[in-house]
Amino acid sequence: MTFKAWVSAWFLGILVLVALFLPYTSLDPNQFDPSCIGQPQSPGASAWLGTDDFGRSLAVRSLFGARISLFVGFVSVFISSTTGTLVGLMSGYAPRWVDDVVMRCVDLMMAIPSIFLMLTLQVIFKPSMVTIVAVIGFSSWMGTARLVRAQVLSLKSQLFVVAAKARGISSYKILFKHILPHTLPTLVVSSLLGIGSAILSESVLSFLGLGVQPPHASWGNMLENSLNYLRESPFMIIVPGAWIILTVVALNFLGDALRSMFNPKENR
Amino acid sequence: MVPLLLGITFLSFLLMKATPGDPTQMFTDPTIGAKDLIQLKKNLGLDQPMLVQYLKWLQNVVQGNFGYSFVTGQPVMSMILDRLPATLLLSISSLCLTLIITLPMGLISAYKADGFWDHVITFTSFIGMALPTFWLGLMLMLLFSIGLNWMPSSGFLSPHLLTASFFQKSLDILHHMVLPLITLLIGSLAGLTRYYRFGVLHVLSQDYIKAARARGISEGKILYKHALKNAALPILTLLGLQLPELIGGAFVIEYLFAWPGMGKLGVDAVFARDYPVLMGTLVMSSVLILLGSLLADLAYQWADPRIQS
Repeated sequence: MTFKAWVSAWFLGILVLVALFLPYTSLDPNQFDPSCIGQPQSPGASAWLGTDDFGRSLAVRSLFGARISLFVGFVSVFISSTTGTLVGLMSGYAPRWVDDVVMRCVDLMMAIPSIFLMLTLQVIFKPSMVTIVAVIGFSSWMGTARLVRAQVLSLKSQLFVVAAKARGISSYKILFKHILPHTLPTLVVSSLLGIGSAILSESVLSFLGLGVQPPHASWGNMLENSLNYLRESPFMIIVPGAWIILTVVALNFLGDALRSMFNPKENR
Repeated sequence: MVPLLLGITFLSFLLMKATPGDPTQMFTDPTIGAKDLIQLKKNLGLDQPMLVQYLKWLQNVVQGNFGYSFVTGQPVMSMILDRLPATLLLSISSLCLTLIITLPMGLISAYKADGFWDHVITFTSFIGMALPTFWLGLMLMLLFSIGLNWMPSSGFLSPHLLTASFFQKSLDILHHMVLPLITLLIGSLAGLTRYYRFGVLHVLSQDYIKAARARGISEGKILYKHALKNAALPILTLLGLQLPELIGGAFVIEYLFAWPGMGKLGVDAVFARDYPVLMGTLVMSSVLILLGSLLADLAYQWADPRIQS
């Protein structure tokens, strides 16, 4: 592992720990200051990173935002990776015509701009935590499905699979006990990268007001009001954005490092 | 291609049907009785099976009729056609500029792999990939329109220039386009450059490059004649694949900079719950994407005669 990857891993680890244990501290993301409404404050002694338009501390809110943004990232990637893996396994192993049908559906989903699909779905099912996670997960499983399918196609003609078949092991067992473990490295990497893009999707949805709803804080919805205060307080934009970038960069570095660890032959 | 299009229309139709409420609730006044409402539904064909409704809708869509906007009452198709030029202007310029910038950057990055510029480019593209594009747009707005006051922060054409000469108008539109264009560019450059770097690295390790070097061909010629083109091939495929993301990203950027394109139309329709417009933009943008990936495929075949259709 490179230095970059170590730093990223530590950063993410600490962030996850903070996110997990935050509710047990005395910090309150919604503690507002009535005298500051409509007047975001610059960083000062009382609020290290300044406050938003309700006088809520941006530092505290972005820590709580980490909780929600990471949660959305992890859960939606869990959904998309599971769906993608199941579809990919099935499609790669099933008879040719099933594969064709499934892959055309994947093509179809991929031809639609995902952000637009997500927005439409969010309008249809009133935005809530459950729908955000479901909608992001549902709009991003196709890449994983393609990856897994490609691997299954190359694995299924290999000797150990043929041998397993010859011994009369059921297709179900072959898929999950013999083929799936070989796809795990790819899956881990693509999931890590997926968490990053899920966090980005969440931020777009929330920025447009169709994601995480207030009073919850997420990095995306902290940006929602910032457009009205561009002139007065650039910190309302810079702070949440910086958290998003740091986290997604760290996830990408880590994913990249793992990828080259799993495929040592591939040149950097 | 055609089945894919059919699938997209079917999906949009399903989405439209999944939206809460039906049109009769929008157009009738509350004094109309339940019985008349049933008759109205019958007249509109809403009592028929889904499939029949879909086929009828499809028949209209094929003829370019997406229905009428709930908000403005205008035909959806003409609204979209009004907005199409702005979208095409923005996305095609960003696509061309992306290619023009990506190729030399990837080439430099791969040629001196692990060198200073490689590290700079790789690091920047990692940051670029992690940037939420709309946030980048906000930052550029903050810096260039509010801080330095160099660029207009939003819009397409300044109102006082409506009657100006064509040249003045074009200049003004370009001026408005700078910020959205840069935002889009940075968003799409990062991934492509990294990918292209891998491509060039792969090509440079091939035997024919070694052979060319052995024959004493200059490094410049090797890079430009052999590496650049061969490594550019997969870029075409990747561009085709990335098209949905590019266009989707452009939607948010258009909205942010109030660029009067199809994307802004779509996002506005989302907020106004204007379903006919929403479905129209969804279908039309998918058509654009399919056309784009078809073009990418054709370009690939043209560039690499080994690929047979």
